[in-house]
Amino acid sequence: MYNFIIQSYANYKGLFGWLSWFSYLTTVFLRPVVMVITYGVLGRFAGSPEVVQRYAIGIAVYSMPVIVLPGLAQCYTYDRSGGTLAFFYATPVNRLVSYLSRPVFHYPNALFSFVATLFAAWATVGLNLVPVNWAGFVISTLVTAASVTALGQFLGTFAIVFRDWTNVQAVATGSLLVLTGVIIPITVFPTGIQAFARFLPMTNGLIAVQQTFAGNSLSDVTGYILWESLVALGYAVLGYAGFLLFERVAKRMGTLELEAF
Amino acid sequence: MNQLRAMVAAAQQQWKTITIGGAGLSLQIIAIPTVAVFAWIAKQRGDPAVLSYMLLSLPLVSIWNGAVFRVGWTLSGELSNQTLHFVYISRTPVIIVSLGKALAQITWGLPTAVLTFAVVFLITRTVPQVADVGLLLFSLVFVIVGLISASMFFSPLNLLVGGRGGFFNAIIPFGVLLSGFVFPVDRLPVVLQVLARCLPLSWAMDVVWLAVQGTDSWTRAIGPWAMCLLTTAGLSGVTYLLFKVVERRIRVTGVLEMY
Repeated sequence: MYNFIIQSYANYKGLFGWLSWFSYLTTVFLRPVVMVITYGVLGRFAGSPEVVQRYAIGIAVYSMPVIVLPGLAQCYTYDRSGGTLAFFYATPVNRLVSYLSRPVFHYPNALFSFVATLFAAWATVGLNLVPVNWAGFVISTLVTAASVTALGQFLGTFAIVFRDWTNVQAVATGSLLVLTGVIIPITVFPTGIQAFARFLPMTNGLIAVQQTFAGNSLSDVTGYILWESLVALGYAVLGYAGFLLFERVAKRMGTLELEAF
Repeated sequence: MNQLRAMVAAAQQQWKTITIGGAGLSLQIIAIPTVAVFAWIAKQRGDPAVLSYMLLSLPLVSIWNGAVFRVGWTLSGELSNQTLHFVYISRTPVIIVSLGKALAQITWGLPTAVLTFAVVFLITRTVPQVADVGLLLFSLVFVIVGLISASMFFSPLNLLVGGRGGFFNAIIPFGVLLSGFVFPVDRLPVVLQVLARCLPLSWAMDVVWLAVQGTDSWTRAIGPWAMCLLTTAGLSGVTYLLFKVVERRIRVTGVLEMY
């Protein structure tokens, strides 16, 4: 356990490039506030004022991947570009423990960002907190953050073999913004895309978060939470498979310190 | 003439850096889904003036993202690649070199701006209805001037604060908000309006909004244009001072590389 904690901390401290106080505070706390103000004012200017609260909840959930996905991708990229990944691969260290240790300190960032966004929304556009089912809301949020982190792990492993992590992250975060119901309800998309969206992190979790925020009971959203948990598990397993596979690819192609593709 | 030649060379160098670097597209890519969502929100109400404004302003977001980030990192990149010292040894002012790089970056952003426009058009299915096209064209010149001055400002600033990763994470969306790329800044809370009015882009975008709505006299644009030039001059002055601080730390105290 001690080894696991040390690995988690070392991975986070050494490989997260946004850990300077300015970058961290502005990314985790200021950027979500800017997003809330942007969508809040836009909702009033160009949309309809009554949807602003729904946008705010959506943006609060969306703030999770915005911090977690790049954070985890950096964790893998800098491990390679810094030359430490080769040492890791040379050891018989348990790969699963290493894989699971990487997101430990990134997960709270998702929650910090979510809370900061929600607070900003409450302060700037006004949120009705009276009907909130807090137990269901908290559980939905924790599960959604876990699901987003699992996606980060899945995408992060690609950074081991791909030249640049930023384009992959840009496409991923963009897709989540458009397809998971953050602002645009998924019901406006064709059936096929709706079905695909159900397999994306956040889609089901966001519904659970929004419904519990509106006062629905936990039992009303259990299905969404379970589905979100399954999605999280799926991405975590796929990510681990990718972690093992890309190790083989990098070794076979002799590209441990370089990108394979 | 020599300085112009140096500026063109700097633009070519920046162009190659962008095209070779794999991350060249990420900032523009990330702008596309964001502006798609903005456009979708605007479509819900369907106000033609608002849709027209957003068709014109949202493509600027992709240029802004790329310009601020890339130009913002040029000095830091040169320092870490050990080429900044040569820039200072040469007789060409480094601000001229940065200007060339900013121009290259903005030119690079134009195709993605067109792509962004196409995305917004596909979502809104609206052709921009501009009441005064001439005024719009003139105002876009001011927008480009504002973009250049804003992007150049961040180049020495980023270096002086240590060139940390993630420095632009909040600055880029904050700039989008304060520049009026999503909605005219008079919609913002008062505190943010005050901040926005210190930036040339907010004034330039005011005239874009005016061009969309139409005006019986261009004299209404003179005030915002004058303020745009005034704030550009102010921002450029601060930028010049920051460049001087960078130069001093490299040539005189020699401590810039020791954080």
